[in-house]
Amino acid sequence: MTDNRLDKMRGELRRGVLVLAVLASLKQPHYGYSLRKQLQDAGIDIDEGTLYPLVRRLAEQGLLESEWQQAEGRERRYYQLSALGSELLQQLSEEWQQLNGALGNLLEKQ
Amino acid sequence: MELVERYISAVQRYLPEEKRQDIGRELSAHLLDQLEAQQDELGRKLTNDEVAATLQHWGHPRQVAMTYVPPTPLVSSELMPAYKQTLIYVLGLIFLWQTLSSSVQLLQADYFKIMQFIFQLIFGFFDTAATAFLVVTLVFYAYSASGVDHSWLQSNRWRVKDLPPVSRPWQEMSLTDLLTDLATSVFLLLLLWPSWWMSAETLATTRVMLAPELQQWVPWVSTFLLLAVLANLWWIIRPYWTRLTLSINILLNLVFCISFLSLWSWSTVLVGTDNPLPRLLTIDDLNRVARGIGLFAGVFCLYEVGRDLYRLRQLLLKTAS
Repeated sequence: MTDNRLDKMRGELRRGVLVLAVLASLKQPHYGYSLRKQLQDAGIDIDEGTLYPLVRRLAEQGLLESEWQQAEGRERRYYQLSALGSELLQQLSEEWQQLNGALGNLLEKQ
Repeated sequence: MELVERYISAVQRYLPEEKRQDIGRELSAHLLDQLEAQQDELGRKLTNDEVAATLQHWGHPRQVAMTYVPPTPLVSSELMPAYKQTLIYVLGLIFLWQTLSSSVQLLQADYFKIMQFIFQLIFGFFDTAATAFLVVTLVFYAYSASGVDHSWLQSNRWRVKDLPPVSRPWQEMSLTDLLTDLATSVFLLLLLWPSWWMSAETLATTRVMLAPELQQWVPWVSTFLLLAVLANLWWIIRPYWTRLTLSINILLNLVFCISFLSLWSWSTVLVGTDNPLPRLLTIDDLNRVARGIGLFAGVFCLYEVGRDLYRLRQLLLKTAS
């Protein structure tokens, strides 16, 4: 398989999971850069051009709450899960566990 | 941090007015955080080149703006199949109309100028097609942008049993073939009945007419041409070759084949009127051309009869097995 095709399929695989990763990380309030660092530390390296617009879209859908705060002489927008976001995260987590278990069984059979 | 301000300002130019302020403010916070982290890592202030390199890595301002506000397509993906289908039918009908109108003009002209006919057909088609393309696209754009529910397009009322029994690739009729056949049938009808579209004054100036012995066959041939027009209109709605549609096509082509070959065998197809023919053109020349066309069209219809008989046999054998 060519590197190009692998990159493309890897991107497709990660795209759906990113929403789950972002929602899970935002149980605690984070501003953009700190969220990216947290994901990076957890082993999920996500491009800023993907992460920041994604966070904004989730906020527009009402899944996140945001608030501007002054810190270290500069302003930052902090994001955190809303009640709706928490509910969705719970449902998506269950879905993910189920899928992951099923997929794990399939991959073990190979 | 002048470079950052310039960069954000450039991104904002590509954003809609109502989102410029908010996205610009947020982007500024992200960028300053990243640059600050880089400074902490290096233990010194960043140079202008290093700031520029970071901004370069973020991408072109238009690209960044697009990630925040993705461009909306003129026609939404749900409407795209209906949009393409509408365009095909509209452009097909325009081509049909243009062919007929150019043909009528060719018949009314004093001389047969083939190149003029071809140019008139091509430019006339593109002229009207461009307008039609614009109108159809604008209608679909307005419908997409209106946000009106268009789930009715993905109708749930279809039934598997209603799907055509198509098992071979040739069973799908080509729209181009259908429109060509339709145009040919209408054109021949107009040719046989000039009184439908020519004024009495123009009719009085015609230089040739069908031989009186052939005139008696005009109503019969016209009936079959009319049937061909109706069949083609029906097949545009259900474009599949089945045993029924193949049988109808065989019958029609057989009648046309006999008619055309009879024309070829006839010594006098056209006769002159009281109006003189143009110089260098004799009635014998015109008869030779008419008979040649008759032979060519007759052989072509015969080929279609043979092809459809073979296809009908294939379908019958499949049913039997």
